[in-house]
Amino acid sequence: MAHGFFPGRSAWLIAYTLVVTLLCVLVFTGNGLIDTVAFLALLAPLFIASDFDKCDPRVGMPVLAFVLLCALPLVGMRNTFYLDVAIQVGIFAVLALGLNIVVGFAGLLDLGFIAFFAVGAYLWAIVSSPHGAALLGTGFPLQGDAFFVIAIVAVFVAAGTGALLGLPVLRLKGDYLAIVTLGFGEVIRVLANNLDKPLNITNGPQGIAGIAQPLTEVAGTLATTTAPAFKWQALIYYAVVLTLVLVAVLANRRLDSSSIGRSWLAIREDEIAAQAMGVPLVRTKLIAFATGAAFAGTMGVLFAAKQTFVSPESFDFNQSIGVLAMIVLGGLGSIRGVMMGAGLVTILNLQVLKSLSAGLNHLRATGFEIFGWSFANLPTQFEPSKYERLIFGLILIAMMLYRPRGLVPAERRPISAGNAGSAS
Amino acid sequence: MTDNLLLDVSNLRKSFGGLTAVDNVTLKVERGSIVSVIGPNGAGKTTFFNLITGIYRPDVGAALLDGVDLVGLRPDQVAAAGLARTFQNIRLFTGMTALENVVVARSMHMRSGYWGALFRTRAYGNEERSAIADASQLLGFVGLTGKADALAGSLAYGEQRRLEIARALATKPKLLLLDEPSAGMNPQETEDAKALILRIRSELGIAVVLIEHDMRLVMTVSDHIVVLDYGSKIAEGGADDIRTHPKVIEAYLGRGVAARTATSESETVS
Repeated sequence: MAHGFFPGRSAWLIAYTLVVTLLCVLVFTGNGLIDTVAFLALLAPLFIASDFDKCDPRVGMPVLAFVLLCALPLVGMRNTFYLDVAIQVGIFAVLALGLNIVVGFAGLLDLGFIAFFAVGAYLWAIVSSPHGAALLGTGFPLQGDAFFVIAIVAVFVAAGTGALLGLPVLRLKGDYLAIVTLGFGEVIRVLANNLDKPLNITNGPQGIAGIAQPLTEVAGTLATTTAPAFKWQALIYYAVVLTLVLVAVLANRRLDSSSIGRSWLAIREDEIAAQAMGVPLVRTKLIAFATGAAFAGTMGVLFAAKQTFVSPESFDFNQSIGVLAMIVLGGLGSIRGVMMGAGLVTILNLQVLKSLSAGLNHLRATGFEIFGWSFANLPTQFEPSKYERLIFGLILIAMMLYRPRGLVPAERRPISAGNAGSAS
Repeated sequence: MTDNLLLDVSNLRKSFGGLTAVDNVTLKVERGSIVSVIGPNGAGKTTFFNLITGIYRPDVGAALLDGVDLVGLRPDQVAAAGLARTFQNIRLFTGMTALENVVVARSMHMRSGYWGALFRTRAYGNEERSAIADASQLLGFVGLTGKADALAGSLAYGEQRRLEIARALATKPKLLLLDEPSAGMNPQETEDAKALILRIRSELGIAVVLIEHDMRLVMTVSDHIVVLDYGSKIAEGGADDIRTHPKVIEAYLGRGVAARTATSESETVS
């Protein structure tokens, strides 16, 4: 099983994880560049330990559990910013895993994926906010704890929306499909922007505020009985996101290695042959589309609850492209890859560039000199965080040139007569 | 007699713009028989296959498989109705293993599907195992036992042809359409292909319709031969009838040869 596995490697991995955890919890607790690097170093074991070809699962699984269940919450306790980052990474990881089913497994280029995220977000926003109460009447807004019910409802609402949009669209192929999904994605956003009249459903460009959060009493109780200063609500979201990520990973793995996953691959390889072998084309594609949409819808509910505010601009075309870039960067069809892509892109956006900007500003303010050149001369317009898209584009170009199949290229585990149905 | 009729294609026609690719073709296939469709290049043989397998929709005509009308069905519905096919230019899923290629064609007969796969139900596990067992058996049937885990694209040409046949058989067809099963093969491989076709009938009880250019193969395996030229059926009958049929000789060898053979009867298509 664990070919290419070195006995010494596990020891190093464990030692490394413990040291970095200690450093992150005790020393690098700020928001500077060094702290960011330390935080990235803390995430590295997740990547190494999840590679069960090179790392013994008996070591890998405990390391994964330790980082996810102990180290990250501890770091988050010291500085809630990191917990926020982890939640954000988790949200995008699930979105990326959802889009991975559509683009990576079924090979359908979907440029409007964020629309289903919007559907979930608006669903929770409408049923749980004062705005929704005015619209829906008695019984609303729902209590925050209805979140868990609505999150499951959102799976079906988003999947239904996906099927509805997919039905006319999935008869198209390649470029045509991409353009039409782009259009549909925009339609949903424009609907959100304009459905404030004649009946005010989405509250238009102002967005919906005052969205309920789940388990607020639990967070309140924890704050009064234990550490009041700590944001327990964020920890609750972290737990929810972590659960959803695990569900998404499991669903991805199981679908990939099942008969439906093989049908997706067959369609990707040769549509005509697949169809002639009894694979129903539209239905099989629709299942992929709806499954991806379901992931996005659920995360939309979580996003709305966490932000307590939604507006159409959270769901613009750039977001769809952002998620697509994550999975292309990580490796289409590769579960570890797309999660890594989601992590890297999110952290680059949220942390690395911001802390780089902050660091430069600090040097500029103090007039730090290097080789006789003072940082005070640096133009104030130069802010790395403003070049997010540029840096992103450069990374993608470099990737396509040097690693066109992504950071972690997809590796299928073909079935064989010996291991029939043994995959988890 | 009618009870024994498996495929009944009547008056099938298809035009592409001004070109009538298949014109008023009628074909009857009995259970357990092997029928060959021959004709010069561009005679409309493959178009004929595409018409009855749902890839093209005929302008006029009907195709009944065991009483089910195939016209208007999608290719996957045609496969579900019991008609499987191979392709002239091999269309395997090259990035999948030989075993997986065959298992894909089994998915239509699996009931537990999506939710079973997601929740890994017991029914799903059993179906998956039996699909893999069936597929392995089919690979054995076509002589690819040792190649189950090889990528389809890495197989030798003759092996790819046989894998395509195994994949088509996995749909559990009543009738198998083979589009040039011996194209590009050497004489030995052609002999093997012939033996395989005969075994498909004798061991699996599946009727076969084949498009073929290798006349030795056609003449020795077929119960019935249909000759197409310019989209129309110009002759049909047993091997001996076809061999000496003047229209067939004309279509293959030109009018001059046909005229000469009509007098001397020495030259035949062989």
